[in-house]
Amino acid sequence: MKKVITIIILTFAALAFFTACFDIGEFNSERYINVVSREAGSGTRGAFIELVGMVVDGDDMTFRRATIAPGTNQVITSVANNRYAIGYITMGSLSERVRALPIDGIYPNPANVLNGSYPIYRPFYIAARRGESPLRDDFIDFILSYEGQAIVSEDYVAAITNPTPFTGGGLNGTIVIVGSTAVAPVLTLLGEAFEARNPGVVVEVHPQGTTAGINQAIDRQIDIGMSSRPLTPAELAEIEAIAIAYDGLAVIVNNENPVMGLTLEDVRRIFTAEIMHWNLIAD
Amino acid sequence: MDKNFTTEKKYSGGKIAELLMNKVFLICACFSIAALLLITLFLIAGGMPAIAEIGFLNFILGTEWTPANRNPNFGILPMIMGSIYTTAGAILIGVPIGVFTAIFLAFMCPKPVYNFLKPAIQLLAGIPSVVYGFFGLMVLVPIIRNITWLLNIGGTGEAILTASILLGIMILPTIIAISESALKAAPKAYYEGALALGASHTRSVFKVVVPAAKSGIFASVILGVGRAIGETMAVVMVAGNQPEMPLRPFFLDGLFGGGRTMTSNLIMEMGYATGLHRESLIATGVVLIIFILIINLIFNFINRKKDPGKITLKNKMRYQIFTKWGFSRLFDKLKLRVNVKRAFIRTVDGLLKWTTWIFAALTLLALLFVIFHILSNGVAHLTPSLFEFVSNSQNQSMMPSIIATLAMVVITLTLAVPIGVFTSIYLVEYTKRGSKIVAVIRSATEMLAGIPSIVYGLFGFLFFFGFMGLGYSLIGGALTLTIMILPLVIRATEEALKAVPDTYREGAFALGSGKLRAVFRVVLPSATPGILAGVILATGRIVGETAALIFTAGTIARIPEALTDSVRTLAVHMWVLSGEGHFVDQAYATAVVLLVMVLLINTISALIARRIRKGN
Repeated sequence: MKKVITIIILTFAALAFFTACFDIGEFNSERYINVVSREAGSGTRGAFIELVGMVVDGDDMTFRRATIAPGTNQVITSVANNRYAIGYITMGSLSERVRALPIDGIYPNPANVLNGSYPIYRPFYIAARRGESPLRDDFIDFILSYEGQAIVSEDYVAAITNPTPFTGGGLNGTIVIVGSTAVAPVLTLLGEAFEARNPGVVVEVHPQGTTAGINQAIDRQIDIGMSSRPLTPAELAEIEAIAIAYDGLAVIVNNENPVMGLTLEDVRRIFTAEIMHWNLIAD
Repeated sequence: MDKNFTTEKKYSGGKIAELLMNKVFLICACFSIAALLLITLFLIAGGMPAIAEIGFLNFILGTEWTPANRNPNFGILPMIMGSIYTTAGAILIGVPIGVFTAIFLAFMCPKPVYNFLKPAIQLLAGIPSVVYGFFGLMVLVPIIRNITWLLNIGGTGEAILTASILLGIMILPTIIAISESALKAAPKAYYEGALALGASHTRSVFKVVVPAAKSGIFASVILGVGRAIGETMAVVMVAGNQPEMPLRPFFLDGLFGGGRTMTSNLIMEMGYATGLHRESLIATGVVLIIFILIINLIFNFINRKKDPGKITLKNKMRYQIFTKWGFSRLFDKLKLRVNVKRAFIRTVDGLLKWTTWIFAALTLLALLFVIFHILSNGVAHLTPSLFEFVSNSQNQSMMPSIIATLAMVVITLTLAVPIGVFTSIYLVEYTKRGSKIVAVIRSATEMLAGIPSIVYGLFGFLFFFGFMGLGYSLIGGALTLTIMILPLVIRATEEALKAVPDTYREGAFALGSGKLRAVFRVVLPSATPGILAGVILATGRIVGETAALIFTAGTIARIPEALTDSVRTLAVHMWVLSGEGHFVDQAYATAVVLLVMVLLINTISALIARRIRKGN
């Protein structure tokens, strides 16, 4: 029994020593940049590579050895834990865990997206057939109404400049929404507000990915698809795309990272691995 | 006369029931074959067009995976290599620790330590993989990253090595459990014989018992490989997921570089995939099944060879060689003095003994570390608001998920237990030993047991979600899980039925009972604790499952009102919380609740096991 206790104590001591060496020096700008991207097919990635100019001849030029994080928060976690990492997320998910860099001196926030000075932004779409279900139409009207757009503009930019107040309501049933993980949070908020107004309504939001949502909406398996990228012509031939918000894509770095800002060209060169070390960025 | 007439009538009524139930048992027994066929059929039908279009060799050996390009490439070699590397790493880490821990448990463990360590390892087996993944992301990744900084090499900590360590921990319970029972099954006479010849306890164990249990230990390694290759949720959170050929595995840059496994490719891209991309993902599922098939074949091959009871010529030789231990002879030749020889042997003995103790301590440490980390970060965030009945963006309450988990368990068990129990009744009571159908059903259930849960998810998505049009629903998830836990229930029930002494059956027959009556009135009641143990194990599996449910039951955090409602079980809730939004604290709190559930399940199964032991 004594031996067991000694061993346990010893191993714990070793472990404590191990974790004590956690903080190793200061930020060292000679180190590699750890690029964090999203999975192929993600609407956020599609919009980002398009806007930053990383698509050459239809091919995605993202650094082949970039860490692939399967969701917005995995990007945040990767960057928050690694002082040499850089990633991109929707500005609606920014928090104090990471720092958003100004691009060409402009910070990503709703005001700068609204006046067009922030260069990396994209619309959020919903893909739906109107005129098939009164409840679905009612919910779409709500999203585009004054009340709905007020919810949208808390974290994003409203897509409708002069929305009118919502006049519908009073229906019952379930609305099933599937699609982009980036759009899901705002539609969840919209759904909750809609449910609060209409006690007989249930809004289900499934964050399963943009393409899944659009396809299922086209196949009439669900009511509304959420998309964080523009729909392709083939998709548009089948279904209507409605812009509900504008979202800025924030380039994020670790809180310990001393870099104060990047140009759009820097961002492109970092994410395509033309620049691989932090000290090669010209401030 | 009158009396005779009634018995006659009863007898014929019983005969009809007998015939009827015989058919029912047979149908249930064929269910697992049907399920296996259905899974393979659907995956092959879904994946073949892709393989036909891309070309089999281009698909298997292609090194480019660029599905989103204008001219997409679908080569899965990087993912195959990623799976092989992480699995190999897990084996390198998990097998020595696991086998030494098993030796410790079987031969060196003081009773009080055993009573603590054994349930601890069972707890390690019960922790859901999403909790392991979260632990890896929060703890292992930063540690590995710091090492890369110390070594001054590139890397983010999200690496093959990290995934290997995590998987190494996750396969420990499998390896320990099976190796331990193999070691204990080795004839006692071997050990005693070695002792009688003057060998020390350590020597006898390592030189005689361990070689005798070799095939069982190999079997445990093979099962560990199956577990590691099929793991999804934990790997996707820590491996970096670059769809690129992993770098040289035995060099630092390869160890600390990332990679993507076949399973993580499926979970990450299935939601986005259309057309050829989707078909090639389904084909990846087929490749995974082929891997599992190969593993099962190897496992069966090893198991067939296992025969520790026989004293073969080789074993006799072992006894004889043993009297002149390997090193001993060497010393004789070197003409060293006897006390040097003894000192050397003693050192080797001591080293082995200490290794055993240290590796067992490492196992315990891994468990304590995981649990301590989850508890210390989670308990403080267990606020009452997390147990409210409504979950929304402001308050990520886990109550709907707890209720959904319970509903999922109840529905799945209602479907799976009768089918499983009837299958086993058919296998044990209604067939002759060595019958062909038993062999077929048994290999079908073994295959089902080995299929990774992400492949079940894929199948459920294709069949229940798409083909049957159930959408994301409670019932779709429950049906998928039913097929998944069926092998567990069948195996446990089979063991329990076999353990019922034949004299019980003979007694029943002697008293004039029919077969059916004997089974239901005599055999089943005495097998109940064993069956219950299997059911509890299955419950643990359902509670911890994530990958199979994301694509079948969906992720809606609402208390289900109908079977067609989408639900989010607690493990899926944990995955969603760690995946989107800012809910790290709530994810930890959810992990605590999951741990408590697993602990409860383990306690119940331990209680049942104790009852079985007392009953015998």
